[in-house]
This record gives sequence, C-alpha cells and structure tokens, in this order.
Amino acid sequence: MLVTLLVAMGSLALYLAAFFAAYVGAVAVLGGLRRRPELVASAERGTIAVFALLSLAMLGVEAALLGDRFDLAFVAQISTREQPWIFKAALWGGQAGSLLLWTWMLGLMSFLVVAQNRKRNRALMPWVMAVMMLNIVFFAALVAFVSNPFEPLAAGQAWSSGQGMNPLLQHPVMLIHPPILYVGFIGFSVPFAFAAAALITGELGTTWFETTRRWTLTAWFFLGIGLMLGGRWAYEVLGWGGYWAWDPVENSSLMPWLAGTAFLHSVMIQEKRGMLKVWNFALIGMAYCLCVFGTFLTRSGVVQSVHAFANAGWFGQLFLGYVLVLAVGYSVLLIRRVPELRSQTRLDSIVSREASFLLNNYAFLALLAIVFYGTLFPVVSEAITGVKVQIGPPFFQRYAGPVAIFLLFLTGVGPLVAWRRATWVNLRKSFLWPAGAAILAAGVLVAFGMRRFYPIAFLAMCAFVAGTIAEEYARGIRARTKRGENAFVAFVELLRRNQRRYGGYIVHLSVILIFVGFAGATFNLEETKLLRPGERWDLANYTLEYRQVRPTDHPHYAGAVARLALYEDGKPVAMLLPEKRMYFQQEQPTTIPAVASGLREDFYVILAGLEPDQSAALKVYINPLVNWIWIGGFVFVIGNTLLLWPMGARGKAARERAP
Amino acid sequence: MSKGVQIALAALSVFAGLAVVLTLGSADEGTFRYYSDVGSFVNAPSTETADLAARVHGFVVAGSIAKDLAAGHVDFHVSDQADNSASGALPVRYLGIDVPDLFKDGAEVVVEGRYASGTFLADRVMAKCPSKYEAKPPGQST
Repeated sequence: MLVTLLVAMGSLALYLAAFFAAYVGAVAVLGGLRRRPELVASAERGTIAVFALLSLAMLGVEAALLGDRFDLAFVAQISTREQPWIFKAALWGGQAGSLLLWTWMLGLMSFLVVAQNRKRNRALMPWVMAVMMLNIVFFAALVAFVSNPFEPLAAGQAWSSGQGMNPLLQHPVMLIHPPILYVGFIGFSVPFAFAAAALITGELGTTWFETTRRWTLTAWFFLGIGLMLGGRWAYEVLGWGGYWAWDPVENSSLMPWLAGTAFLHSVMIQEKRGMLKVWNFALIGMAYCLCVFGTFLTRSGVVQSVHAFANAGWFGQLFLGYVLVLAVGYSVLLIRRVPELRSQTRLDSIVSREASFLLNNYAFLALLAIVFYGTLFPVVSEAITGVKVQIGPPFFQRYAGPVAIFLLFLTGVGPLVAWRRATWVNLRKSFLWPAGAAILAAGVLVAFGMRRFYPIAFLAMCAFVAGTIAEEYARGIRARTKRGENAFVAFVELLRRNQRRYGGYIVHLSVILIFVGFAGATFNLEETKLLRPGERWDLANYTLEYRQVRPTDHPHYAGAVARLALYEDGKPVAMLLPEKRMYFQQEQPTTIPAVASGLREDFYVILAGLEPDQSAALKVYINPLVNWIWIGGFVFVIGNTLLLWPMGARGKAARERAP
Repeated sequence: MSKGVQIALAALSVFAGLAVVLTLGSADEGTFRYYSDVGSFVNAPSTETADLAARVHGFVVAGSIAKDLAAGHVDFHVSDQADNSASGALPVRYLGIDVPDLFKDGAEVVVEGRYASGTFLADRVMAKCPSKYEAKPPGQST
C-alpha cells in the first residue's frame, strides 16, 4: 500500500520536476535580466522545490525496487526477489535509474549552492540557477519522457521476479563506484554554472572560481576516486589481469579529469599573477562539457565498448545535441568577453613558476588530445574511409608515455621554481638534492640490470618529485623546530597553516606512488598452461601446484573452484582458489581470479577452462608493483581530505597572510 | 615577441610534431581495422587485409569448435548468422586456450588477428561482453 503510494507519487513528481525546473530557470533569467531581487528569491525557493520533487521521484524508484514491484519494466530488469536489499537499492544498475540518480544529484547540488549563497554572489546567482536548471530540465525530461523508470511492463507480461543485477556488478566496489563517479561528473556543473554566470554578467574577477574552489576540488577528488575504483573493480572482477584498458568508457571519465587537473593548476596563476584568465574559463567549460560528452559516449553506442550501456539511436542524438548546445553556447559567451580578459601581467621568463604551470597545462591538454583522438578515431576513420579503424592500448601508451614523464618532471619543478624569473641560485638551492635522487635512482636501476627506457625514466622522475616534496617538508619543519616545536607538531602546523601547499604535496606524492605502479606494468608477465591434477608448473621463481578441483553449490550459480598451492623459491606462500561460476538467472559465466598480493608484485591466476578429465587451463599474470597504485589511491584520498578539511579560523587567517 | 607567445609557439610545434607522428604512426601495432561482419572481411581486397591487423565481428558456427588444449590452440568458424545459415564462414585458429567465458556455439564474438593462407590466426577472442549493464528480460527472445 505504502509502496503503491510512493511509486505513484514518485512518478508524478518526476514529470512535475521537469516542468517546474523549466519554470524556475525562466524566473531566474527574468530576475537576472530585470535585476528584481524578489524574482531571484522566488527562483531560489523554486530550486528547493525542484530538489524536493526529484527526491520524491528517487523515493518512488527506491520504494519500487525494495518493494519488489516487478510489474515495472525497470525493476524487472535490474532486480530480483532474492537479491540482497543493498543491491536491490542500487538503482544505477540500469539506464533509467542511473539517469534519475544523475538528475537528483544535479538537484541536490543546485539546492546546496542556493543554501550556500543566500547572502553571497547576488549578481551571479540568478544565472547560476538558470544554468543548473537548464541541466536539470534536460536530464529530468530525458528520464520522464525517454527512459522512465516508472514505465510498466508491456501489456500481458507479469513476472514474479526480475532479471537481476548483472552478477559482475554485484561487488562491493560497484556499490560505490557509480555514485562516486557521478558526484565527480555532476560536481563540475557548479563551477561551470558560476563560470557561465560570470561571463554573462561580466563579473570577470576571481570570485567565480574562488567561491567554487571546494566544489571543483571535491568533484575532481571524486572523479579521481571513481577512476581508481573502476580500475580496482576491473582488476578484481573482470579477470584479465589488468586495471585499465583504454576502453572508451574509461577514457570518457579520464578526459574531464585531465581538463579538471589542468584547471586546478592554472587558476593558481590567475590568483597570484592575474594571468591565464581566458584559459581558465575555457578549461572549466571543457571539463564540464567532457563530463556530459563522456555520458553521451557511454550511452549512445557511438563507440564500441566492452561495457557500454545499451544503445538507442535517437537517445544518443539528443545527448549529442545537448553537449553541442552547452559547448557552443559557452564558447559564444567566452569569445564575447575575450577583450575584457586580457592579462594584467606578462610572462617574464621561461624559467619561472608561471611558465612551468603553463607548460603543465599544455601537457595536460596534450594528454587529453591523445585520449580524445584515440577514443574517437574509429568514428572519424569510418566517416572518412568507410572502414572502422580501432586503436588499442599500445597507441595510448606510446604517445601518453612521454607526455606523462614530462608532466612528472613539471610536478617536481612547478612548486619550487621561483615566480617571475628563477635565478641560478634558486634553481641550485631547490633542485640539487632532488636531481641527485633521480640520478641515484636511475643508477641503482641500471646497476640492478634494468635496461628499458620507460621504467627507468618513470622511476627516476618519481624519485625526483619525491625529493622535492621531502625537501619542502624538511625545510618547513626545520624552520618551525628552530622555534622550539617538536617535529610532529611542526608537521601538523605546517599543514594547518598552509593547507593548500602542503596538502597539494601529498596529492603529488600519491601521483608518484601511482606512477611507480604504472612503471611496474612494463614487466608484467603472462603465461597460460594446461595442468592435470597433481601437476606442478614452474614460473619465474614461483611454483604452482594444482591440487584438485571441486564443484561449488550455490542457489544462484554452479561452478568449480581449483585449489592451487603457490610456492615462492620453494617455500609455500598461499593457497589460491580461482573460481568459475555460471549464474542461472542471467545465464552468465564469470571467472573469479585469485591473487597472492604483495608490495613487490601480485601473482594473479584465473581458471580459464576446465576439461572433462579435470585438467585445468590456468592463466597466470605476474604484475610487479601493481599494489602501489592502490596505495597511491589511499594517499590520494588522504591528501585531498587534508586539502578539503575545514581548518578553522586560524588556518584561514594564516592563508590570507600567506604570500 | 613576448615569452608567452614563445612558449605557446614551442608547445604548438611540439603538438604539431606529435600530430604528424600520430597520423603516420597510426597504422601499426595495437591498431585494427574493424569489420562488422564476416562477409565484408572475406570480400575485402587482399591489400587492405594484409597491411593491418583486423578485428572481425561474427558468430561462432555451431558445432565448429575444436579445442586442442595440449597443442595450445582452439579452432572454430565464424559467420554472419548465429543459426549457421550464412554461407562463407571464416575458419579461425585462436593461438591460446583461455577462451572467454561466453565463448560457445552461436556466441557473438570479435576475433583479433591476421589472415594467413586460408585461416584467420587470432591473437585474441572477445565474446560480446556480458557487462552490458542492461540484459534482456527473461522470456524475451532476441
């Protein structure tokens, strides 16, 4: 009874939200044009109402999912009676639900923005609301009229249970990965809306990005975690021994992250030196448009991807149209303001912090261009030659590799080189030790017999950047301990007093750790062998002994588990249990890898095939240093948390005093 | 010329160089011509199929799978129809034993490799990925 009521209300609220958002947007525009505060206030109340309506729609879908309403097509598709409630509630398992979640998050963020700015940014707010509402209207209309989660099954069909969530997705990481990624994508809509509002009103100072700094950083942070979790899920679940395949879906979340990274760096130059203004507007526009474009890529079937959503012809065209409206509209706004956005200062020297940040921006954009080119190449080549040419991982690695090394170099140089014009003394003082660390690292690697360019270059650069970070912290702590603080207190105070600088270093540290993991991938080993029970297999310094295979018995699937004893240098290390399952409901087989994981390397094995005589086809991947990627992920979270942590009045005062 | 312009020019020339390399280098390792059906691959001019590795999309012909795990390869045929009605099936030899989970009679696959003397030598066999988030409801046939 309650479920029926909630579903009926939710369905109605969804339509109302779409129409009401259009109305609120119109009122906000009118309030902005005529400068009528009462209209702006009305739009603000309307924003809250839109959020409330979208929340009702969410509540309705959740009620339908948890209440087993299998008469609704969407519920029948992604849920089953037996599924644990937490997976039932995961409405992003299907297209309609994920779009509704997207819309609801837009509503939530609009609401938060309104709540934060009741007394601030009065001139910008009507336009900020107008842009947010434009987004909501598009998505809410899409959910209401094209992909509606409340749509009943076709007449004459009635199921007692549903299809159920894809078993590959029934994994703890997949419970949090999509919403986290969405916070990232949608979070960029807030700085985008402020940038558009600044361009419309002509309030072109630093307000638009300073007031949204936390939003941008949060969105970027969540997008980063989303990327990491996606990789982790692929590694644990998909069973191909890797974490990143340069698949269009992965690329489409990497691209806005790259644009966002460039933006976060280049706004610092505008803050300190009043330069790169046009550039910053362009970057945030690019970041948000790429977020929407990525959604278009994954949902339209334009590029073939292993894990794309189902495609529907004109659905994709709608999305593409929307991206074009955003991109063209924003570009027109920006171009109109270019004459007003000239820099007050010029670049004095190529060896300066400004220049290194500028180069960093170019490098991020080069990476973005490479990923964009590789992702869309099949579409372009088909249009020109009629034959689809697909580009695989070697292409990306070949071209992104050198740019990444250059970026690592700048990561070390940027924060330490002097503003305006660096002197030889400054360079020697800042980079003597880090350069020494890099040379030492390269020397040690070569001495240990490493002869390949990429890993040596990457690891040496990592040592260089680590050197600069260590030096910065050492210098800061030493200055404080001289005044009598103990080292730990000095460390904490350093972070408190100059949160952005020292928090940023920790994020840089996480990037180094991740790159150490990437460098390890150049030594990945991959072997396949057919083993009979009792047989042994010697691989590198490991021995794998195939003991036996046992059938598994489970209400939802049948399968087999192989028992493998792993020895390293003759000593037993682990019992590995790779598994193969066949899910009855979805008729889907899955392979569950077993991993013996260590800081030096992972021994990753999958049960690729099983013969009637119980011989097992085993595939082994030895992945050196891969764990450092996940460790880097944790450090990334710590660093960003430190950056976002409210440090209180003392911290704030110190920030204002900081140069 | 200001320093900003100098840097922009330097970066631009690097990008231009990169773009040239990209265009020239796009035809090697890791790049594939994609054929959405077996027919267009079989009928493609041999000059086209010789220079670049291919990905061919098709269906595994029912009853054609012959695994030789001891020798380390799997032989099968792909054609344009799952029900084996299409003529002109392409013989494929996959040089490995770790076929994907969904590989079976009638499965929709993409094979990656090169054509050599009557057989398509595949380095990789990809079954149409199950992680398409939206499955078809039970009871509905394709």
